[in-house]
Amino acid sequence: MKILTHNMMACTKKQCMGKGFPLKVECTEQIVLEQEFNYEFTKNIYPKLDWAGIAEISKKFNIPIQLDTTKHSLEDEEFLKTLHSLLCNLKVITGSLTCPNCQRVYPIDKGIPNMLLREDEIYQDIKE
Amino acid sequence: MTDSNIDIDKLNLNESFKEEKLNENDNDDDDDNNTISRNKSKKELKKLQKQQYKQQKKQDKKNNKVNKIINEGVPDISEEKINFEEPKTDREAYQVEVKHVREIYDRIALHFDSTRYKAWPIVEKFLEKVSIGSIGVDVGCGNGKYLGLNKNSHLIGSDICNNFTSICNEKHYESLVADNLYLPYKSNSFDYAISIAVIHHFSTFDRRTEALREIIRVLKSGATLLITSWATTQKWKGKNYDYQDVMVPWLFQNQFDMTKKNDEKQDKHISSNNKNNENENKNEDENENENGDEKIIEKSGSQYEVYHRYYHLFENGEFEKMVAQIPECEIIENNLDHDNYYCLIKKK
Repeated sequence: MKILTHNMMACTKKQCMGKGFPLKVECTEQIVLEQEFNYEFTKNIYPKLDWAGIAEISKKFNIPIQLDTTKHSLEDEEFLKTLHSLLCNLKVITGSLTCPNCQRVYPIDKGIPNMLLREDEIYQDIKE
Repeated sequence: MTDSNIDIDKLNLNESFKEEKLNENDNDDDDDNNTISRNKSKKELKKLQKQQYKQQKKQDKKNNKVNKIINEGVPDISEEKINFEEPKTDREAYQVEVKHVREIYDRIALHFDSTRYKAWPIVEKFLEKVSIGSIGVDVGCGNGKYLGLNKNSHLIGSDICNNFTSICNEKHYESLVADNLYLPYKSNSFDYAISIAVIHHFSTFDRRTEALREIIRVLKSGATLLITSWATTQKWKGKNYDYQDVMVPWLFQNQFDMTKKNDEKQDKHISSNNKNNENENKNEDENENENGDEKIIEKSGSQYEVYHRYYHLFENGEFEKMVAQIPECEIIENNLDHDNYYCLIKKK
């Protein structure tokens, strides 16, 4: 799971709609990829980002990045490089994601988050 | 005199012609020994040729079956109408899909991956057009054949089948395990979405509509979804379905078994095949054996298993009916291509 993917994610439960993000990250294994910086790509990605999600990651992985959006400048290449590297090169291999609303824990194994609800979670309200 | 001679000759000619005609029909009871032996050998030759032709045809048919499946993943085994009753409750539908879609794909994922590498031009064109720095979702990404097509876009693949996401991860694509009905994404977030040959695996109209509604939910206003499904008119495969809910066979080669450590299952297959070899059908190189839900076929030393996947084949107007239930979206384009409906749906 790359950080850009994490930035789009939320809890799958209907009860958490609008409240299930950013997912809290636990990480026991990560890798750093070496994707080249792409100015155009990063500039276009920027307005789509959820900065509460970036803050969560910045804190978790102790990566310094300007979180105050009023101080951001798309002319600042250093800032965009840091952002690109954070979004596209950091990949969580093993760990978990926790919903800030319902506390449901989703495991991440071999780089793949498992966001599947169990049958009893889906049908918990239906009395057979 | 000359006239009568001619007449006799004519008569003889006619008779010999008659004889030859009879011989050809293999019905003559001529007393002439030569004729009998000649006819007999002719008969035998014909019989032999007929047999060879039949065998060849049978062999071709078998080869065709296997090749078609291995090369294109298009099953050519005649579809079986397995008694399919529309599930009465949503939970029943869920269970049908787990058993007849999710578990089957989990089993055949690796084999499926070896057959699905060609991108469908319509999807390719759609992905080429997305802008640099756009973020998209591929809902039901399978082996991820569309995930790496446009390097300028961040496309996240998801599939309910665990083994498919593992295959995607090995190809260094972003993928996660998720249910189309419960997508793990924020609402109004994505610039585009694709759903290729996925929606037909849901077993009720309500679930298909909910699956579509869920994809629309995660799209931004103005974003487009490309969604495709199999159609009832499968003419290019030489078929025309007269029912919509079908079980489509997959001839699975054991070499693609992702659970090779499962010795017990392997042993079971081998023993059932050995049992088969003791049968009278020794000359047959293909033995079929029913074993619960799955069929085992041995062909030229390789083992195959037949698995059936559930499909709801789409009729004309079905996407329209679904979209009519979702006021947030509208159809931009809806067409038939190679017996697949493809539909461009825009979020308002």
